[in-house]
Amino acid sequence: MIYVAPNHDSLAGLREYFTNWAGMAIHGFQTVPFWLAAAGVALAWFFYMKRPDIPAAIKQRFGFIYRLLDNKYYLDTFNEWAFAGGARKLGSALWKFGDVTIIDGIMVNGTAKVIGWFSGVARVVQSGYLYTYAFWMIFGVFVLLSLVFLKIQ
Amino acid sequence: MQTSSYILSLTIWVPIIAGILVLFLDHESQKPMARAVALVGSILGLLVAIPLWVGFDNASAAMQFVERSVWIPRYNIHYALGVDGISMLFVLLNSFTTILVIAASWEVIQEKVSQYLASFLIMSGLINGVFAATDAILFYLFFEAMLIPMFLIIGIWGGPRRVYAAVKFFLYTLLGSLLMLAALIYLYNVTNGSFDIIDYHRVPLGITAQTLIFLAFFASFAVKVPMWPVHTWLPDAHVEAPTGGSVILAAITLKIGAYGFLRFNMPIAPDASHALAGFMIALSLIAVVYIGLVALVQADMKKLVAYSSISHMGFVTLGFFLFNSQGVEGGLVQMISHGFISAAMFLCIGVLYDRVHSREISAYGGVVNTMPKFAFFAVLFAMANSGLPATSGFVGEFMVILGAMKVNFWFAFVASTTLILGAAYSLWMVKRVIFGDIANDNVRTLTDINAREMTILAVLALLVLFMGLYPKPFTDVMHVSVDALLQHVSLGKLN
Repeated sequence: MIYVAPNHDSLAGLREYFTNWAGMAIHGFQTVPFWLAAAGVALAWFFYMKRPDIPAAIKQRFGFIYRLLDNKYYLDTFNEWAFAGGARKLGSALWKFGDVTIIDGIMVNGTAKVIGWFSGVARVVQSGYLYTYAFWMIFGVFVLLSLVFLKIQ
Repeated sequence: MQTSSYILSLTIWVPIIAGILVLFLDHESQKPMARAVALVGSILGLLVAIPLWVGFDNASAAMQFVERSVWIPRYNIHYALGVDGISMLFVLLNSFTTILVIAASWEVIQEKVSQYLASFLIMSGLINGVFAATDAILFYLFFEAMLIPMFLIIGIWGGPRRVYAAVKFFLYTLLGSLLMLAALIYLYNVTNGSFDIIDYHRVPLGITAQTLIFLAFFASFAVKVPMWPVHTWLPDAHVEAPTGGSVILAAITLKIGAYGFLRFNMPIAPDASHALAGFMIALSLIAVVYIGLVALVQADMKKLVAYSSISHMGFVTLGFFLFNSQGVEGGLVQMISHGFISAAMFLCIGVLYDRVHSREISAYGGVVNTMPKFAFFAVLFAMANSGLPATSGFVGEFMVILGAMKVNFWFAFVASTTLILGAAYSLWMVKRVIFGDIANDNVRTLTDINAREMTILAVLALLVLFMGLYPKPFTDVMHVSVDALLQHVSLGKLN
């Protein structure tokens, strides 16, 4: 069962003309599109089988139109250059700049680098010599005591 | 709620116990034995999960196959399991995919075979735990534990830069999940000491608390999905991981991030989810377009499929934050479908890599001349990846685009570019790798897929086509749960 919505009932229009299948088939021969199509076949036979020199002459005389048509109005060339090439350029830029430079370079590996740099600085304080640590401890006690005394006064 | 079923426990512990058994078979002479035990273990893992599908009540949005027993009484932590229409399919997908990766490693992995197989089996159990846990701490435990086998798989059996990739994967994911733990502890306090996720769904929360909780969970799940701009661990992890690792990463672990949004973000923080929907949709659409374009220019096949996965997952998160049933169901269908397709794509790349030891597109060309059977499957999966109708890839994308159209024409318009970009990067890769003249001697001496490889790819091809032609069994399972979730989210928590 095929359901046809009442507002799209194009088959009802067809019904007015429909008699039987043979009538439909014969009617087909009386329409313009059929004869145009047949003429196309005949013309093609004449040009390419019988007299191939005619299309060759046309090609000679109207070279520009021939090339335009032969290259499908250069639409494919344009598509390949603008859309395919453009998408590849854009993709490349997003990848190299967005992913590799900004996200991975600056944000991800950058964080690791900053931490590494900070540790490098912090490491300087940790010399491993006991007397350096003792000095900083005494210095710390001195600063703390100074603060306490200053506050009392 | 008391324990009334052991099915979920079985889906978790059968693979883990099988994995532990396999670990003991680590002698050189025991390799065939280890493979056999692993395969049997993984098949058992799927068999014990089948009752979930058979016995599932599609008419109920409640947790089913519930198990609950006290684990750590002092903190009110339970060993609590259950699945609804959102999570059930993923337990099955995971159990199924595990068989594929075990079978796919059969002749390929020759180093530390038992540890390799055990890692996958143990991970399979842990992932089932993630999808089945209804206690937040249990979920967190599985969520974190899952990182360890994957870390080992990438770090031990991976490519030349495996250590960098493994550490990057680990740090990225861990950083996000710490914020989730903070959110869970906050929720524990506001619910007067409960770690039950369902309690979190019900507890009233102000908009500030909701926003912070949303962002904390977002930090965890966005990395996992991965969403732009926290996605850069994935291409590295995929490129370095062995084929099986890539399959599980793409087919399953990415889905955990998206699942987290449905299980935590949306129901716990519904008002914040609405408030931040624009932000989520923007990130998703950036993923679809930006990552789609990046995928186009990749010279490495695995990287291309990795970027394609990120782009497809952008579709999933887009669907979720549209807050209509087409969007959310479309997202879920897309997750399942991408599980099949991405697994198949990585397995196809694995087939080529095992023979030529290169992942570069330029190392191939004209593969169809020497591997016609393989070419058939590769072309089918590439078409499914670009969302061709009658393949599973189309169903989810179509539903999400329909859902997006209801919300905003431009969301649907931008999302639709995935159909063009997906076709561009998938089919262009196929053209350069599969078609054309034989490019070099490596390709000339290729042998077509053997019976084992053929079986694996054929099963996936059937699933891709079945889901594409008749997605109803899948959507029927999720429908009621998704509607209940959307109703809960639309009510909000502020009144």
